[in-house]
Amino acid sequence: MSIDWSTYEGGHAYDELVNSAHAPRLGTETLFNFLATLNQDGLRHRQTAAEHTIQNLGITFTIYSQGENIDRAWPFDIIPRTIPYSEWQRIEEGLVQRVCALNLFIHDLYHDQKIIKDGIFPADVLAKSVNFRQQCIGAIPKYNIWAHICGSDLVRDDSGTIYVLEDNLRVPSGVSYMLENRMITKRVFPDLFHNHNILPVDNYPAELHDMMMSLSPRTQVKPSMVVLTPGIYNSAYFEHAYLARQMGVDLVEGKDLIVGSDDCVYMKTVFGPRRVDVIYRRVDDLFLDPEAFNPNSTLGVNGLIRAWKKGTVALVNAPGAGVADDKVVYAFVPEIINYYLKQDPLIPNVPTYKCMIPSERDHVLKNLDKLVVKPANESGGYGMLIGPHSTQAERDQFAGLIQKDPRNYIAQPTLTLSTVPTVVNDTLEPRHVDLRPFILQGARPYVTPGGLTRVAMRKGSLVVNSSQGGGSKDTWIIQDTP
Amino acid sequence: MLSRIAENIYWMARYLERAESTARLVKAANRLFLDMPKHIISLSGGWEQLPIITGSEEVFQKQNKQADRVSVLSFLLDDHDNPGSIRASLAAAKINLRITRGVFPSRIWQYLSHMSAQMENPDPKDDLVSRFDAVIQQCEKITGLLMGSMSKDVALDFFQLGRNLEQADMLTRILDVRGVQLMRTSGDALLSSFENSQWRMVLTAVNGLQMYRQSVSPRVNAEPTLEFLLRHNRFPRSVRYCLLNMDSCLVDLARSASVRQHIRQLEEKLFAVDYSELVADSLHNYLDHLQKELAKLHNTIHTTYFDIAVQLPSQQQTQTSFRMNHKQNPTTTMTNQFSIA
Repeated sequence: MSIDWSTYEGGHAYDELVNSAHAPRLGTETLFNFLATLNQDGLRHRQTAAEHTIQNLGITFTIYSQGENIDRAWPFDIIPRTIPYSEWQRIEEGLVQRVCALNLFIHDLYHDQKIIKDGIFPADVLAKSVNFRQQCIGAIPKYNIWAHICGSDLVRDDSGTIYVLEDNLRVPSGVSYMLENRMITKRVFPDLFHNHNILPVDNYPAELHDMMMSLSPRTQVKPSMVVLTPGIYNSAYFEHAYLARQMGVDLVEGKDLIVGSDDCVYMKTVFGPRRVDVIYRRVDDLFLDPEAFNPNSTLGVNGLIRAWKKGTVALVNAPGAGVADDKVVYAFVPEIINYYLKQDPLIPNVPTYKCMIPSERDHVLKNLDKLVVKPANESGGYGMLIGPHSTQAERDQFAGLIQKDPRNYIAQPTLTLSTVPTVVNDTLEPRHVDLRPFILQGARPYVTPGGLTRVAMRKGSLVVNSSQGGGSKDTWIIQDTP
Repeated sequence: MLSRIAENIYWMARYLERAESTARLVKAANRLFLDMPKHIISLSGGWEQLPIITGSEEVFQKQNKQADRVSVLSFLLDDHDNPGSIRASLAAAKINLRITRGVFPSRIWQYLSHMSAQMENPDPKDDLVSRFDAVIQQCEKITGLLMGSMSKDVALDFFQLGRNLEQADMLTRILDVRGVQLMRTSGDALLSSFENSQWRMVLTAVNGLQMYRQSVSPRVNAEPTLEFLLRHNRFPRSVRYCLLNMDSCLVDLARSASVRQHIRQLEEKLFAVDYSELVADSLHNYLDHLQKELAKLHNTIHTTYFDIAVQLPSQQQTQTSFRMNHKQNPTTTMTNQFSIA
């Protein structure tokens, strides 16, 4: 029995492949028709082949639990998520616009703070920001860019509108899986690539490399660049090693680097100390430099911030860039874009209530059963209230928390995320997805064509995190116009 | 190459060699002791010598066990409390490999994982001795793979440095415990008829019996055995050969002058003694001296290539402990465990 699209029911969510009349969306006819010819065996074979490939190539992510590191095979679903190129162009523009404005904003915060003086951004939001680094005030990174790599999470609601859900400006991960997912899909569905115009994604390591090169403080010599990892026990170590290998640069740990009395950074090699120009650091701000931040950090490099402020080394992302990675700051991004660029945002924010504003707070408190309440600085879905699934006691607790510290909370309507057909028990069922494109910003901007699509494997679930049973998909930007 | 990567390659080689040479030692002892009269063993030494040779005597004593065949075998194979067990060495080698994986042919990961898995979950059908056999075979497979497919380059150089140093160290340990005891009792009339097989065991422990017979004599006696194991320039596990091999790796490496100087001195000391004049005590002193020199050679390698911080201003050199066997690679201790969202 082959796939019958007429029985595929997406409920009221927007499905990325199939419209409400059970017909293919723009540009996806070939995929749609091909899938309809597959029977259960065909689907299962392809899914198994993909899983074998993942195992053989050792594509893993690491979970640390009960004193042991467990390498889990990367969870992957073979059915790609599709986006027509005409729609993607606008998303791409919107992402570049957003990262551009956020960089202007970060630079302003560490210098004149005009946006606060002009009354657009409240001073006390900054005062309570946990990611603002006093140590970075006055620093001038090259091109005034602080967030060189940004992973913005996009979602689509049931009306078909795409929103930015959050911006990850600290050490966003997932890009290696985007690349591996494409590699696996090419093995599983070679014919489909032949019959579609799908934008390639494998240029990312070269783009990352060029972006890092453009930041080098030494322009006369070929820059020496490294990826700085917290080590093999980090959950994203696979990605750190992968990116270093793809770019042909060394993968270093904090103890491999040293800051000399000339305030330059060196790596320790068997040939002696070697100067380092650009560091793609996958270590959090506070662990980067015991001299400047957490004195107990064993992952960092003494004096690194001193060297960076002196301009002898570039750090990607710059320390302190995370100040714009805060859910309350997020709520101000439309105003930020407007203030610095005199433009309207091309991709909207999810409507967000700021509890610090009394009228919005009242609205939130009255509608706790309908809203999602998020604290400003948690990630991975922790410390949230999901109104429609909450008890009265939980709502009372959150009402108390909000009143006690309104600056720390925002609230958003519960979105019905869009779905993509996903292999479940050898057939296709809709599952909710989000999308994380990666935006690079050095001498020039670059956006990955597509990004990492994450999928909630449990029916009805909106949790896409791989550590909590989420899976992933390849993402196809399909050229829909000749 | 990063110093840390070089250090991990070096230590991976040492741990693998440690596992392999422990397994060889156990097999040789097993062969000798099984049909050796008990009163001879009590004079010339038996199973209790193995924890001494591998430097884990204290740990073994703490367990208050009789040093018999089964207790010593399982202590050296996979005892959780013995940091010098084969199992612990393989686990450490695996961590080193995880860090240096990109440097080696990808199949090495498969081989080492397979060997560790066998160590963690043994097949109940396998007897103890065949498990030591398996370790030797798998280690030979890994060395064969590396020698057969890696370019003679920095990575292989550091692998060879670690492997040869560990071999030389292990050999001097075996001779120091086993050989010295045999010299001590060599006047004993009871023992003389067993001397040949006793020394044969020493050769077997470093896989040298066949080569000894071919190049020296079918009879195995103290002096020619010492000569063969310490000074032979063709037998791959002799101390001299290990030194020559290390030197050939260092020729291509940058900044190797001080290490090579050290190797030349060690070679001179190796030849400073006339073996025909050695008695038990002087043999022990001689071997003890060689061991200390090997430990110093390790320290020179360490400060030249791994801990290069001293060469930049305002950095302190970390001291390394002297006894080699208790030295563990710092990166194999589990620190820095936390993850980033």
